[in-house]
Formats: sequence, structure tokens, C-alpha cells
Amino acid sequence: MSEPQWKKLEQEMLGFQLQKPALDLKQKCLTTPPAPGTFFSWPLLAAAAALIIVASWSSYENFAQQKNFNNNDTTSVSHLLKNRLDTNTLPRYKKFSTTFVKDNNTYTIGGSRAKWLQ
Amino acid sequence: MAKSTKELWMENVFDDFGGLILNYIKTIVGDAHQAEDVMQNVFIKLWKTEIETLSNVKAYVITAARNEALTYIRKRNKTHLRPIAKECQLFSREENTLRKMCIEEALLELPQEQREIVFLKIYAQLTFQKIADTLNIPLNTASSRYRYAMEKLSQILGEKNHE
Repeated sequence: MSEPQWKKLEQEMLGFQLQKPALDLKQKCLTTPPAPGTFFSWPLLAAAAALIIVASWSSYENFAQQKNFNNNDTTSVSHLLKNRLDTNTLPRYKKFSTTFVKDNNTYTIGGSRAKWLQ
Repeated sequence: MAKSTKELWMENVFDDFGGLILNYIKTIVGDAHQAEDVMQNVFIKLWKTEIETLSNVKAYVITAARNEALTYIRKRNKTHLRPIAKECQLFSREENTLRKMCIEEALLELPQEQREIVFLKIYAQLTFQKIADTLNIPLNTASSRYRYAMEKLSQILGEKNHE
């Protein structure tokens, strides 16, 4: 293809006016976007945190009922925990953590595994 | 209510470069509707831009439009969304409509990197040096790519005329 041919096309294209954007697009583009943080407020964060706490607690209660013990029954809980720590069969309770105290020994369930603190 | 400096600046940018930005995005994404979505994203970015720091507004908006369009294409490829419209109108259709439609169609048949260089040279009226800077390619590549693109465009239009 010789150069003059595409030069002619170039000249022709230079004469074409570009299509103008529609008015509704102009309106959309020139609408001030919401300021950062508009959709993320402290009350919303507090409500979300409260919801998580309630959900975690109800999950724990459900667990405690299934295991047939409760927070007031520290003796049974401690024995159960100690037995399971000794036999290394403590299950992984991931969604909550709590602490049970008996005498000087502290048994803790937390994170992905349990520790027996002296 | 009186408009702020930023609002006035945005309006000027739209009036001066709106057509250029929209049609440049169309040449990259190859779809008129998707180009409008990308254009809105470009303006959201511009709202967040510190206008005092800009020395060359035209170069800035062209680069912003290109980055946004390429990001859109990457996302589109991941989601298997493809250009919808076969026809992507770039030129106003007041006269010589058929010829313009042929050229638009031929332009969209070029590879993306060739059609955007044609657009930047002819409609953004950038020098090859500016094009090279914008596309982050060597100067010689910019000029040769433009020549190949125009040759191919002539060839496609020639074939179309013989059909």
C-alpha cells in the first residue's frame, strides 16, 4: 500500500467530528460522588459489632448445651478439659474463647487449640 | 447555590475533553455502553484528583481514561463479558454517514493497540513523542505502529469497497 493512499484517508478522517457525549452521561459524570465514609459510620460499625457478639454468644451457649455443661459448673468443665488435654483430644473450637478457673490451675479454650496454664 | 472551583473545573474538563475521552475509551473497549461506564469511573477518579497539581490536563485525562479502560478490559476478560454492540459510533452522523460507518467498522477491526494509536494521532492530535509517552512505548514503535495501522485501515476499506 503506497503512502499517499493512507495519507488521503488520514486527511479524510481528520475532517470527521467526534460524537458528543449524551447529556445524561454529562449529568452522571458531573454529579459529586459521595464523600468517603458516607456509607461507613460508627453507629453502623457498633451495630455490626453487637450483632457479632450476640451471634458468638448464642453459638457458645449452643455448644455448652450440647456438651452438657455451663459456666457455673466450673468443676465439671475443668475436669472435662483436663481429661481432654491429657489425652490430647481437645476439639478445635474456633468461633469463641472463654476461660475456666479451678483452684490455681487455669484451663483456657482459645483460638484453634487449648492451653493448660499453670 | 454557587458552584465550587472543583465543580467548575470538572464541567470545563467535560466540555473540552468529554467527547475525546468517551470516543477514546470506545476505541479501546470496543463497546459504546461499556465505554460510558468506564467514562463515569474516569470522572469519579477526577473528582478525587488534586487539580492544582496538574500541569497538562489533556495528557492527564487521556492517561486516566486509558488506565481505566484497560482495567475494565482485564475485568471483562475475567468475567467472560464481551463487547455487546457490533456498531460503535465514534463520529457524528450529520453527513457522509455511510462512509463514516465503514471507517468506524474498519477501525474496530484493527488490533486494540493500533486503533488507539490512530485515535490518539488523529483525534487527540498528539505528537508521536506524546503518544509514545502516553502508551509507554519507544518513539519509533509509536510512529511505525501508526503507519501499519493506517495501511491496514486503507486495506480493509479497499476490501470493503470491492465487496
